[in-house]
Amino acid sequence: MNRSRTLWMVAVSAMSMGAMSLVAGAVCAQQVAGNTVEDRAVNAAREYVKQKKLNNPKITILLNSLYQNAQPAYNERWEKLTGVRVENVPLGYTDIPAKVMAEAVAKTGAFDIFNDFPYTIPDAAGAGTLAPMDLWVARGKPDYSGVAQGLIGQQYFDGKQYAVILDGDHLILVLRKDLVDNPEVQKEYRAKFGKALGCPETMTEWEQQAAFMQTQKGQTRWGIKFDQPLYGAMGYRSVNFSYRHFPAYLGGLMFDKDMKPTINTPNGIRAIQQFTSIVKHMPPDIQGWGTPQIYPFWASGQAFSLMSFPSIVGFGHSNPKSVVKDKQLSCLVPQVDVGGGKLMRRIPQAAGTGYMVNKHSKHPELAYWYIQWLTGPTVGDEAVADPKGFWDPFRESHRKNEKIIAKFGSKQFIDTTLDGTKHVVSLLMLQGNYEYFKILDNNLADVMSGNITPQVAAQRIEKGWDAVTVDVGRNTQIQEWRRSVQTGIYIDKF
Amino acid sequence: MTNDPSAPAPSRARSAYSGRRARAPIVRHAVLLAWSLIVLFPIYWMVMTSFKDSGEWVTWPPRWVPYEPTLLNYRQIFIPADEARGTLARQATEQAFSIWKALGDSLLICLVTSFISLLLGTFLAYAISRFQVGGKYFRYVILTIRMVPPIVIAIPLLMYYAIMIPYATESVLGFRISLFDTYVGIGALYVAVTLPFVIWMMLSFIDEIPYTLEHAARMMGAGRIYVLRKVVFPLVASGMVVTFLFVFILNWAEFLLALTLTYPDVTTLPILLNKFQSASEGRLYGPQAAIGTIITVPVVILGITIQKHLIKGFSFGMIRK
Amino acid sequence: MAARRGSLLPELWPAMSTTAGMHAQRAPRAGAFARLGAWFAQERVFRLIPFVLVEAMFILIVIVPFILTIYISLLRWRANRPFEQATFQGFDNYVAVLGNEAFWTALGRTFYFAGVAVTLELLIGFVLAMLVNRLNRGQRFYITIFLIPMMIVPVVVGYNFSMIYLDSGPFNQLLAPLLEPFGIDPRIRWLSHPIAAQWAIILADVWQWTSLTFLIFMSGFAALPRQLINAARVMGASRSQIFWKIELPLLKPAIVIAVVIRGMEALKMFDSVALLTTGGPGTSTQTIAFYMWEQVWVFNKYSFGAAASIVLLFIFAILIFFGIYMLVRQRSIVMQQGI
Repeated sequence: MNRSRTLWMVAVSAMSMGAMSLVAGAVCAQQVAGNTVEDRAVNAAREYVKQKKLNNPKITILLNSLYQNAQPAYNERWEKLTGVRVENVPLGYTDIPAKVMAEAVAKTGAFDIFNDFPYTIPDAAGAGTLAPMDLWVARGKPDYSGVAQGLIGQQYFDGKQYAVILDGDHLILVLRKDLVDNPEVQKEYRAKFGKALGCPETMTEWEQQAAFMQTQKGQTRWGIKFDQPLYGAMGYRSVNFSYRHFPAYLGGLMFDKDMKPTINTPNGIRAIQQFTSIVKHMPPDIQGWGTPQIYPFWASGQAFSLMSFPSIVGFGHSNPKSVVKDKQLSCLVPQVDVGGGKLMRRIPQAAGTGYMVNKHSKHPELAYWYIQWLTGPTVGDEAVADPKGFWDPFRESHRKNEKIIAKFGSKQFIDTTLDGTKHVVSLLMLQGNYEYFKILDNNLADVMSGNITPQVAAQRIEKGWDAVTVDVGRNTQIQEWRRSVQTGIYIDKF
Repeated sequence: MTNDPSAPAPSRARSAYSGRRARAPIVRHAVLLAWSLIVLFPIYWMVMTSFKDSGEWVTWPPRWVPYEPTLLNYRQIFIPADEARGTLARQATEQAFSIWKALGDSLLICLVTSFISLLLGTFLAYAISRFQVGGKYFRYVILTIRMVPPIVIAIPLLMYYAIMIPYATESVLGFRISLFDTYVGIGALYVAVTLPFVIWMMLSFIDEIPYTLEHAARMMGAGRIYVLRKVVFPLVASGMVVTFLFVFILNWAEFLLALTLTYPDVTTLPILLNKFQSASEGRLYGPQAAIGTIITVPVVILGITIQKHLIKGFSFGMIRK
Repeated sequence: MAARRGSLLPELWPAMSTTAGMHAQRAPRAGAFARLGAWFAQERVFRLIPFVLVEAMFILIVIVPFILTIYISLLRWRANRPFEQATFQGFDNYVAVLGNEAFWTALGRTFYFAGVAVTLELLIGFVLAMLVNRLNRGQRFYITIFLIPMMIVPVVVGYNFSMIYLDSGPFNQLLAPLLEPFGIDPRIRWLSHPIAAQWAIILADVWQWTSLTFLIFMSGFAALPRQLINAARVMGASRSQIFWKIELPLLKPAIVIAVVIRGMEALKMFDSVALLTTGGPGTSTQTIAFYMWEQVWVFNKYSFGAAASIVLLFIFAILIFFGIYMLVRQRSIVMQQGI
């Protein structure tokens, strides 16, 4: 044990020495010519093709299938600019991590670029299947200005950059504007709670609103006859989604300085309690729903509020069957009381995707230049404005981008989601994170089914997380955890 | 039953019997028809859904026939990859997959592996039946392979295909050969996992051919292979067809091994269908139903043509006529 | 040599076919291939060819990976480290597997699913086969329909049932008249309620695989000796007597086959779980196959998965041995009786 650890330390230090010298070399290396990020990427790619004398160069993207309608247009543009063909291999996002990890073992080089959530980075980088980008970044000088640290920080792991993010998928709360603006509703709500109905300040207030708005089918309230039920709230409560929402309820770090889980504390139990109790105001099937069920349901006007990904506003605006067009009020994710009346607003970056380079690719550098071009301030903004895409606003400059505003149909939404970036926290960026997530989700599901109490769930989660930590290696986990907390991706520090 | 007044009642027992006989078929048919409906209902639902437009996939009450039948779902899956994608989408963000590549791969893999499996299996079944090759219990040893859950071999196979063979070939031949995500890799596996079925089904056919027939031919100086070709094969030909089709269906349906060991270079139909469908991902019921129909109909037709022989093949050599 | 190559096929074929083959041994041709053919045709060689081929394939595809698995199961390797950095750690993974509550729960759940599903399949399949067997006409029609489910790709079945089980799906609509009078909400959450989801999986399995048990029982019924039964009837045996005393004992081999084959297959249950519920809600529908798939392909715990594979294989080996033993015994009884 001791010896292997020593060996490991030696290996790590040797590798970091190597990386440092490489970075040092890169700084000395000549920078790429060009005035914009995109120009530099194009020039560098052309130069690379020329230098390596490539014939019909091609790069392949393992693409999140959500983007398969939008991505081809950019691939074609890139081919026109550089002569490099780009091919998509679409795959569902639940299957991508497995393919990335299989590639770590198989080393086929079948893909040059992986398009996935940043949470794949820790395991994939640890397994050595992702290429660090620092060298190329130093030459290509991409522009990440106006992007919040909670978002940008997810590009890095272990001090190296492994991804470029093109998606601000942090959560948002949407209310039904028509109901909020209805004077009858306001009158009744005010009479009951002594407060105007509007964006809830806290999760408690949201639940209160949800209970208030819950309406049975056939009822007549506020002069409206409800032909279909109105559910007070909606959110993601299925396995594989709960963990994306839970940090908003926890309102703090998931572990302390020594990787002891903070879940089995009064605050953690409170978070589980709040996360699960609002479910009674949600559609009964919510535990089995993912985006394809939730989005159309919201668009059909059967819920008062929904905590979801920002693209829901675009969906509600542009879906031809939507009845909530121009009836959506965007709100920041409510705050939680983490104890002693201390209010915290933490907005998880729940599903933003980025682009990573496969280390076993034949042309990793070429792959990177495509990524830099695609995610640059100009092309990237066009992508965010693309009505076919699922890329969501994340850069300050998007506030003024007319096309993006038109796509989502609401300036108020763009402002809200960009205000939200101040509170954005990353999901867990640790090796073994998918197992941490799954343990959390399974126990939350058990609480929602009424099988166990939040207290028991907290104990089980703590125990499960500890076991993962031990399995991955406690010391390395502690180091990684401390380093990532220091970078500020979780906002909170110890 | 017994006090049926209309019956002339020549004897009590006789009337009870005929009364039963009159009624029993109705009850029987009622039960059998009920199960027929249960069996056909999901298939009916799939075929109907494949003609529904997106608005009719999920409604309450559900629609038993499409109110506005459309062929859009079929057009979506038959459009060539990349080309025209999006123009057929109902919404900008809808994902359509072309079926051609997967259809071709599935056909190729299933046909070739079923054929190889049939060939090997028939010869081995013959050898087992005639010479007791491998000992008395060899046929059972083979069956164990089929009984091992695929998940148990999926993990070692990934290691084997992805690590061991590349390392071995690199050190011996000087270049990496990986069986991961290749036709050979998945094909060899399909042969291995279907072989037990082939052997067992063929055994039940070959065991029935009297050995004396071959013996006589051999006596007359016929070569071993000649006997096989002229005496044995004609007698088990229908059995071989049945076995081939059955193994074809098995391979056509295989999911777990393909999921873990292939994609994107090799894509089978179940994997393609899975891309439209996983519990936490998008469910495009219409195109999925269209694919489901496409991959179900031919196999069901095949199955119906061989069903008479299936009953024989499934006796596993234990239920003898 | 070039000329020889041209005549390769004609030389090879006669040796294997047509009348020329009859004399291949006695009049050996000059061609190497023909001689090879003759060598193959010798009994002592011929009988071993398929055996050797098949054995070689099994060794390559099944045995070697297994040795590799045993090796990997002794390592400390989550795939968040390169394989080259994996260290040897002995039996820790086995200790982890054996002490893992989720592993045993998933295994127990698999047995529960398989037990319930196979019991239902056997009962329904038996009753259907019996009824069809007694029909004078229309047998073909029912057999054709009843055998359809087993020809459908399980992924399609999974997908199909996910649509039928929707809370606003046709299944709930059909159940509504049965449930509403009792004040039960007919919108049953088939896929998101822990217990309903388990039954959803079981029912989908029953729908698909009753066809197989039906098929096995049909072949059993078809093989029943008619004369014996007719004789018994003539001698005044009642229907139930014939069934319990004659038919059922004679059907025992079929029952054993159905139990063994179907039971072993049911324990592999993966496709429907992956497509219908992905093991959820929580872990309430996680079967052992799905559990292991998740451990390896989602959590990247390769060496843990390898150890779990070996443990599982041991457990299955006992079952397989038991199943095979039953088959062997039945077969020897059948062979002795010579029915």
